[in-house]
Amino acid sequence: MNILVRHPVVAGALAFVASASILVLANDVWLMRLTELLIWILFAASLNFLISFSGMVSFGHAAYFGLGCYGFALSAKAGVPIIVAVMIGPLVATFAAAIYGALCVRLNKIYFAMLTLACAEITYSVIHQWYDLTGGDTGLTQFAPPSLDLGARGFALLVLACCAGGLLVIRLVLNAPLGLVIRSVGENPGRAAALGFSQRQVQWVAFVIAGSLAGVAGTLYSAFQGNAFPDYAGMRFSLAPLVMVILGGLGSFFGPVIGAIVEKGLTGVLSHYVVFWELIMGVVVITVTVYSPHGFWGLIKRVINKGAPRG
Amino acid sequence: MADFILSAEGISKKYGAFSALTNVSLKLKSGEIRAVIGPNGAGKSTLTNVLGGQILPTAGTVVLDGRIVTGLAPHRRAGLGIGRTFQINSTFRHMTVRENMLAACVAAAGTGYSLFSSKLRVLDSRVAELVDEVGLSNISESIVEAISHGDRKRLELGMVLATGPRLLLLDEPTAGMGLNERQDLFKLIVDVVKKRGLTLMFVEHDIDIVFNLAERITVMARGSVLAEGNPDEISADPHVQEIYLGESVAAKGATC
Repeated sequence: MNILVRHPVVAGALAFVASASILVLANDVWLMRLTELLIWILFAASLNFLISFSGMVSFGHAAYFGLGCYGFALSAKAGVPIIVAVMIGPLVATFAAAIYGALCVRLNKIYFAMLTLACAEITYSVIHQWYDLTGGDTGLTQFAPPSLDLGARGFALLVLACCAGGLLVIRLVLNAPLGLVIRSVGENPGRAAALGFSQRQVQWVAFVIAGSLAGVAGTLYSAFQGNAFPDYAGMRFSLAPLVMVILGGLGSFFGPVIGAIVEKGLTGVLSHYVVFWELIMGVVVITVTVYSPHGFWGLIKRVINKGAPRG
Repeated sequence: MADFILSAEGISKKYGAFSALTNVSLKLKSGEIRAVIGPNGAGKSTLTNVLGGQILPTAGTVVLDGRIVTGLAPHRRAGLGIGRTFQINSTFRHMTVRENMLAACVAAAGTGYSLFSSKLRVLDSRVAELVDEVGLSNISESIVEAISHGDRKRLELGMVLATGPRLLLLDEPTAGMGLNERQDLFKLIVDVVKKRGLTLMFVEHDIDIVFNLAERITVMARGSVLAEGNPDEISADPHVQEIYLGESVAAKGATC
């Protein structure tokens, strides 16, 4: 265990190889489940970057996820080559995050959260009501070949590569001066400003990074499902990654990974056996917030630390 | 006016009907050590915040090196050489001492938007030097939340020094510290100020420290400047004695 903690590159490479092997060996049902899980991990990680490291709690992260979906779906439908369309999705999301972000970072805390929610609801409404372009509630379908013609397994590996790439980007940013500055501003904007950092500029950069990664997740999700619905930019899709971040544990890099696994696992199992499964999920979320503010990843870390004596 | 590194003219700050500052003027000569004293609610912190850019004044101008900076944001003023600490200790609590200092050094190096971690490694020796200068090298890997209040104050001072300021604004740099700790920290402050040729303005309640260290003293009361002068003049000023200092200081002034 100690070796893995001390050499994150080795640990990351091992995790990647292990995940890829699982995807190669998995049967069709599990392949689907794991592909979707990987997309959620990327989405949750992008939100966690905002919440845990930039000190910005967004209630409207689905806007960039949804715009990733629609950016991809609409351009693919318009006949743009698929390879280009998968890049347009994240670009649209990044562009939107740049504009919405410039507005949102003018506010702090709960006001910031409310404004992100408003931006997401505007996005949702436009997608929902611009029937001629988006098909409204009917959504968009059949704009791209299933699994992008890569086959389910090939597509799963592409998703894994994107997810790992996204996590790597977050890790590299956090290890760079930019990450230090983002964390500084997130923790104490007044002190950061007195040192010479512009709170708004730094927060805007973080917002755009998080938005573009959510856009990548959205594009993949749309390609995976083979459809795009206004819901993908709606409240439910803003709350789901928030729950994952909380379950996984605030303030950590791996929290959202664990959180997504736990959330997807629980909803998968519960909804299969229990009618009121959402009620149980609610109780789980409350229990975790109250008794383990550092979430499931915090619990895991505690167990690891007990197992291996320090030093 | 190259003589004055900072001059504030006719500063007023109103909160509705309440005047926190009324027509305050203050000039700091390059290299001087200035103390600002006064009873609670005199407007000392408000004035410091106006000079540092944390609060916009209702009226008046602040001039730094001949340049009007009245409406300039705090991070821009930091870039022009104003370094400050806060009355309530302000550091990055969930980071280590070293990371705090590193953030300050990144600010000074202007590499805040860089994506290369090598840009952090080149600052390592500078960070170690500064951590050592403020006497924290033995706890450089501790999380700030876990270190003592006095050490946090030292860290904050070090972070300000890292940004290479020419003017230090310290709002009660030793608030909440024990007597011995206080004197040690002030000794450190004066040492670094002299060594680097900085200008220092500090707000302080400890009268002994103020009269020992300050070259000039500004006395404030109810949002205005009551008196200004060197320690001898201040301790001899009848208004100051009457309204703020009491007799003990008059006696002390006589023995000086």
